[in-house]
Amino acid sequence: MNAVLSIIRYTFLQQLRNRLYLVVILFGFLILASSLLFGALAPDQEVRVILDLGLAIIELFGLVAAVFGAVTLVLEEIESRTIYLILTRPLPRGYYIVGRFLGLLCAIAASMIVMGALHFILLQTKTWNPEMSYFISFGFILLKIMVMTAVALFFSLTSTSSIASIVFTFFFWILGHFGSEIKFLLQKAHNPMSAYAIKAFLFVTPNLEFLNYRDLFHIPGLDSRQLLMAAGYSVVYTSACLALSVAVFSRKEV
Amino acid sequence: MQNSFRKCKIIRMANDKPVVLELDNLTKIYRKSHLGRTQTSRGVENISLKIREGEVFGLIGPNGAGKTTLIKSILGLLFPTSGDVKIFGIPASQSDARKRVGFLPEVPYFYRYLSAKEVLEFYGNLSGMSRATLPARIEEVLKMVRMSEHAARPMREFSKGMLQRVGLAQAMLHNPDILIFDEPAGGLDPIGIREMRELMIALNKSGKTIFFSSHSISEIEKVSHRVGIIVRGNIKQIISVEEAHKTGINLEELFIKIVTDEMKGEVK
Repeated sequence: MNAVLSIIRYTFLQQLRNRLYLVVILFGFLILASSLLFGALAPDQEVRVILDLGLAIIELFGLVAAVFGAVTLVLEEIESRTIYLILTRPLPRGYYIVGRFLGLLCAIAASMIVMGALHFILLQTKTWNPEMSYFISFGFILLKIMVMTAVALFFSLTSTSSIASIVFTFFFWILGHFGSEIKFLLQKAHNPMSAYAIKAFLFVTPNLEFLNYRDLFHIPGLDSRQLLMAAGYSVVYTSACLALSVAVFSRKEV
Repeated sequence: MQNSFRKCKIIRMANDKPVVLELDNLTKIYRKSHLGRTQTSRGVENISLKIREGEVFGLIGPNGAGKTTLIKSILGLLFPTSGDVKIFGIPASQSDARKRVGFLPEVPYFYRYLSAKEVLEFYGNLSGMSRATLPARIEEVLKMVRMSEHAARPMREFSKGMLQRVGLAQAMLHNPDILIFDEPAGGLDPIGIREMRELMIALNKSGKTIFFSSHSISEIEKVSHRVGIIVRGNIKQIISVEEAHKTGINLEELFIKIVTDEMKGEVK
């Protein structure tokens, strides 16, 4: 346990030293600039625009940090050979992967929480009344990023090129938002083979629409059971990706 | 040279000592696939070896002979194609096998922004050392490698020799019973080489088993009890340094003869 905590701590610090905070600074500039711009262009809808735009940018920045962070997370250590002195310790390889993943996740979550705080403060200056649904949608953005970090880590361990891992992860991100469209395709598929292929595809890709509360922001009385199921789904999907990553890494030669 | 042989006799090896490291028909074949074509190359082949407690075993061979492949297979960084590796009777594939192993790679790569002390704290935690004993042990090993005054400096400021010393410190940190060094004197200046040699002898005197590889015959001769000559993935000969000295065998000539014969065989 001490060993895993040590890896989490070191990975967290490594991400900060890799200037993950630049994402936060860039976000600050973007959100302030857009606030000034929309304040002038659409004064009636200013709060709504800042609200939607801010959450969308937080999600996008979180995704970029997650994908690039996760893809280089282990490969960088293999290339720099720093991994030799870690894997030659009495440490199961799975502990290393879990520690690295959690360390990266903590760093991304921390940067997203800072972005969220900046966003919240800006909204407060615009006579916005805080709503519970804001925090729910923010929480689910974090869960989405957790899922995508696990997906990116898995691809980085199975693919030989960083570019391929990044492309696959973004591909999964896009497909994850088109679950209902894929289901529609399934209904239209007459060939049983195509239907199986689509079903398999649907099963493998993360259902990110299930976690997308940003677009349902304005709906009053969100179903708590559904929220719980969605949170559970994200944890199960992430765990499955991590388990696969551990299995792949256990057979990886360095 | 006489002086160095005398040093080798400090500890006489006994065959009744327990086996610390055992290789049984170890073979590692590298496979690379590209566009459906698979290329294979031999790393090491059918290597069987027993290293006993308190022994210093030196592995010597030309570049690409399989020294690093052998060491990586022992440490579980590479997986054997066939054969077994056991450390203290535990298969090398299990992480527990590395509990009593300290490793120094040819070039120790560290996190450049961490200080020497932070690096050692990190590795100490990974080795399962208790928080209570770790700080004192870090001070102790830094003192042993004469790096105490540089403990707070980031690793990026260190010279190659200083990095090698920190590398040694991390290898000794958890007080392992067997030390595995890959080219420990590689890239060091003559003073650094001498210090490394003296430290290895001192570690062996304190009961540590050492398995190391080197390019330098004279260095291997000065610290090893037995020397294994590896060429093209095979250990061609294992010689007791003491016996070689008694019978007047010149290790350098023997090594060159074995390598030359191997090359001739390859040409034929």
